[in-house]
Amino acid sequence: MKKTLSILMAALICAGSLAGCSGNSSSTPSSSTPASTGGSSSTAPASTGGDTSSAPAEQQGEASYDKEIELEILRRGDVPTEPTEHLLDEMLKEKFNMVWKNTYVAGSDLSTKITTLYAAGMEPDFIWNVRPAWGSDAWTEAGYFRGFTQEEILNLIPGYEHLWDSQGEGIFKGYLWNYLSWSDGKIYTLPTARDTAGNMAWVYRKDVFDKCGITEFPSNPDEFLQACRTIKEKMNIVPLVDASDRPLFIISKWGQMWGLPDMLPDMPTFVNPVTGEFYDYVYDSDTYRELCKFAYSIVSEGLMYPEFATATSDQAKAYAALGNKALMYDYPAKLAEDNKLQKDNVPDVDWQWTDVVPSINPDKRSVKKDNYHSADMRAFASSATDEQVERMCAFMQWSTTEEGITFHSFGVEGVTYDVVDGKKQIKDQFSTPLKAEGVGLGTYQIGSSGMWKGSEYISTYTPVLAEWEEKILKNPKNVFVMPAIMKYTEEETSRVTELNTYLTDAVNKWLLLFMTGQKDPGNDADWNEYKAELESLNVKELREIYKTVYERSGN
Amino acid sequence: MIADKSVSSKVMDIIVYATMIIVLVVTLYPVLYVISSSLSSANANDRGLVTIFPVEFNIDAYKGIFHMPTLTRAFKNSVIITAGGTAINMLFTTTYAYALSRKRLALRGIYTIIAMIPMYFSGGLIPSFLLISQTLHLYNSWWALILPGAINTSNMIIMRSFFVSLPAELEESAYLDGANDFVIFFKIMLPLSQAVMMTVGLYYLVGHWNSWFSAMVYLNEDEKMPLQYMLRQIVLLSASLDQAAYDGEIVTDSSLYFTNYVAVKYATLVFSMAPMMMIYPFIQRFFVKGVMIGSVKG
Amino acid sequence: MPVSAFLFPVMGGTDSPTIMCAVLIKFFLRKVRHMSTATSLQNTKPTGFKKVLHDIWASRWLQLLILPGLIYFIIFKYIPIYGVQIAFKDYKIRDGITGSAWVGFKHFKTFFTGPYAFKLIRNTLLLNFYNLIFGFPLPILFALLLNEVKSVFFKKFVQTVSYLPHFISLAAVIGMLSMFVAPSTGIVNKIINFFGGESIAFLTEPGWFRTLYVISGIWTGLGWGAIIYIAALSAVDQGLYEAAAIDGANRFHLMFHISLPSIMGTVVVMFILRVGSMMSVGSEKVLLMYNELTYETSDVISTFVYRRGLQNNDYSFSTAVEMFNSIVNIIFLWVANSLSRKFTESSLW
Repeated sequence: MKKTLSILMAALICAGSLAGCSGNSSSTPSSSTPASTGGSSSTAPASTGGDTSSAPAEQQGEASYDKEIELEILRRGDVPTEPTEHLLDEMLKEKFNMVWKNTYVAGSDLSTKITTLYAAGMEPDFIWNVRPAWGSDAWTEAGYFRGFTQEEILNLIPGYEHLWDSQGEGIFKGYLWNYLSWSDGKIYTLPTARDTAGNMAWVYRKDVFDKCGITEFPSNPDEFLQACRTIKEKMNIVPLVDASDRPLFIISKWGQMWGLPDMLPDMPTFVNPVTGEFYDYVYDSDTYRELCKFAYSIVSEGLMYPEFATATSDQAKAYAALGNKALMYDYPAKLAEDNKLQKDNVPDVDWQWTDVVPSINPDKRSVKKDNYHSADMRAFASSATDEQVERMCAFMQWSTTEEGITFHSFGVEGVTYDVVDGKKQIKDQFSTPLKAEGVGLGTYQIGSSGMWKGSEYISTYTPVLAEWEEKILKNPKNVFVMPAIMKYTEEETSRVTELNTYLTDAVNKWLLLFMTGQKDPGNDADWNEYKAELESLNVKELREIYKTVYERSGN
Repeated sequence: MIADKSVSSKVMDIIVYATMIIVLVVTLYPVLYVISSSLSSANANDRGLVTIFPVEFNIDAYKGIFHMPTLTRAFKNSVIITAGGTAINMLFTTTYAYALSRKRLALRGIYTIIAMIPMYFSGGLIPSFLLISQTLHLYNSWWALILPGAINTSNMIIMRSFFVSLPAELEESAYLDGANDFVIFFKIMLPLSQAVMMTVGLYYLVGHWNSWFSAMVYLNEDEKMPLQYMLRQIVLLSASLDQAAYDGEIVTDSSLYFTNYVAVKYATLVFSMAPMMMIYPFIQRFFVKGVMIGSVKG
Repeated sequence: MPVSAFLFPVMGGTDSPTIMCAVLIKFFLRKVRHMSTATSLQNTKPTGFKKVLHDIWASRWLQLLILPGLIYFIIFKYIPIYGVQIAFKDYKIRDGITGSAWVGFKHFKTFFTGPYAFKLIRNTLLLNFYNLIFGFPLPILFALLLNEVKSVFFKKFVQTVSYLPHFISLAAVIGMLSMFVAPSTGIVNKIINFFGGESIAFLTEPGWFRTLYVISGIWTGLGWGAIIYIAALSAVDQGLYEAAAIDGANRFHLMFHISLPSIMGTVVVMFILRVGSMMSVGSEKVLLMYNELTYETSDVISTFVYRRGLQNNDYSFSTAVEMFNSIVNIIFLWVANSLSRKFTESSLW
């Protein structure tokens, strides 16, 4: 009796599972998946016989598109507000006979949304924001996105070749292509250009420096330490204020003085531009040790916010508002905010930025430069039709032209901007990076759909960045670390994940021990203990994997 | 309550009231802190000046929230989803719990296991998503927010144990009068269970009111989004405005009111808490002593 | 009619699935008995499968009542359950759930052979254990004391205020907590210094983590957790108190000998349910509170899985660990329920 009932129940569950199973398998997207094993490194694009794009690139803007094309787009966006004017929608319809149906989700939700929609076969035609950090690699492998060879994409969007001209020659076809392409020679995510190559520099409080008699910004670690000591002595404030639950983020800013990149947590393997060394695993190198010793001194001498490891950023800000914090590696564009923060306690606060880059080698100063493309990239679903792809690419191509750039950065003449003395000026009612009052250009649908802001916008409205490019990017003494190109096989990826889960914990733990003074990196016994722990966690195996991948990936 | 003037009674009073005062202070503080921070200026918040009362009184954060054109709509959506959802919850949970509480129920053990296994094993997001969007075609519908959580087994168990505790005489005398289980359930047992129903109802209600994840996964149109989802978006927007000095990427409509990140964060909290504050006195009425009858004397 | 009958909810009964074998044996024995007394009585009651059908028909209205919930469970909980199989597979998005390769117990092995496995399990269990010992009784005590408040207004006021912290987001709560225990500026250390002690860096000392975790849980959970007990207390017959008072009981007696036993059934149920989640510690709160220096006591299973997942979304691994947690939880539940059935009269089944 009980037996029959339990059989019945089991049958029920099985039936349900089978029903569910069949439902799942029928919705796996089918498409050509790129070869995932990295046997050969791909530098030369594969020249395919069949060209998928039919429309040559000359027709842009002038061509009449008879058929209206509709695209479902998934975008990262914050609060959905009804736009005051639909400038973008109108332009799309007029110029490209294209209609967009946008769905907005918060950035952190994008990954879940994409995974679920694709699993159910309900994916959008175009995704506006994908990044490896959110899983775009796995999605590419799963065949979600459409791939383009270099020839194909340049046929559709020839403007890509020149989008990075302000930063150098042949970037798209060279480094960027190598970085983004898969072993089959195709890219699956489409990049856009960052406004400028970089946007961070050392900032300092001129009022403090003046009062302490420091005339020049420190140019190497020793001077840096000395300046901090002087500031603490003379003004009784804590010169460095920062807080993070990942201490590596804090010291990586100082690490640049030794050529260690600002994105240290992400780059255990790279070539040091200042010393020329290659690290297969940087966290037990002598250079890293120097950095640890530096951090040890800073904290033990009271030159740093004591609760750096446990405070929230709000609390750090509150601490800074009391008058602390005299120098920092930060965004020059934020100086006005910093001034405002401390004005009440320190009336003559005066934050400035400097193009001095402290370094152990005065002729080779390492500067953080962002990768050429923005973190968010775009992608077509492999289920998008050729027509949709062509039309959207036509729009993207137009966005790389002078006309397109103007539209995306300034808007429509007479509506959102005027031309005054030959220079474009955004109308007063709108807020800009220089002027907080006013409504955002986003209310007119301007500003979030372009490929690059363009040099005119940058030099007019974010002059700091233009200055940055002049003073820092073009200074011959400055050298830049670019992320190494690392193409892993599946097995390597899972092994690296496995090892790093433990090793990262150990590295962070020891860093905290060093910084809180419980262990001394200058002391050989302590340092060797640290190295021994890493050894016991199989760091040797990790180094070998990194080395292999590095060499294979064509760096 | 017994009027007892003895020493022990007075000692009890002291203990009771001392405890209550401590609890009040300890639990009132965070609430005050949250409210005050939401009413303080960005400057005061950044400098950590707020302790109990607002510093540099400023209602920008609230202005910003009320300025949102989608606010009333989101609020209305949440009310509908919460009311409808809780009703469904109660319907499914009380019936299942009551039936399970009767020893006469055949296959009782199996029904118990069926309810308990999902507490521990679940297929994950993707199978559920496939079921709801592909098989049941409920994507972009509020039913997708309400139905998957119709019964929370813990709540069901709480209810069941209460139903079991109801005296058997009630049932017996009702049978003698010719009633069947349905009638007994709806006309006798439920009215006696107000306290537990209010409690479990409150649990479900709060669950619906605070949820945003299901809305994010299963809804596609802004018109259908509930309040909590919208508030979360505001906080995220404010955080990005606060943090992204300039990374040259997404620049959406920067609303002036949202630049005071800390106040915005707390204002949205107050917004969610306020309805809960107002609901509870209503529910408390059902926790009055003696609702349970004296109709069955031992 | 003894008072105890409705004071102590009685569960149990012979239909418990866990003694399926015993029941089968029982029926077999009954059959044998019937056979041996075949001549004496007519077999008026049907047996075996027919009996089941008969019972179902006898309780047909109840079966109807339970039907909606049953359908719900089957559709929404059991149909998607096939997803758990990825714990035994190497799930890859491109292969889908059914297409991914079987790897048996590989993920379980990975978890258990890692250097942290013991530490993680220990920390998880200890956190829940401390929460149980300290965090479980307090809402009960609070409800009992609240019950003694005479002023209705004050009672409602305290109740309403006490349950509000439950709604404050974790991030805000932990932010406030870290403000209080900050070494240099926090109020707790200021008090310590006032009495001549040295500042304690609470958040970086492994020894303090569990205390802070439990205290912050009590802080936000006291009022909310007491609701169910307040509701249960309201169902107690007032006559009991009067009768006992006449017999000479003072208020302490009343509280511990009437009020408390009256809600014992509820307490036991809540306790068993709590024990049934001993292996589950949510990652959200720990992530906000811990840092590498306190990993020794603060790193739990869920936070480890989270960190691992940051690099590579390994759904299979996390599902496998989930499954392990669930199985241990079920064991705890089973033990707690059995003990409870033996020593008290209430249990879950």
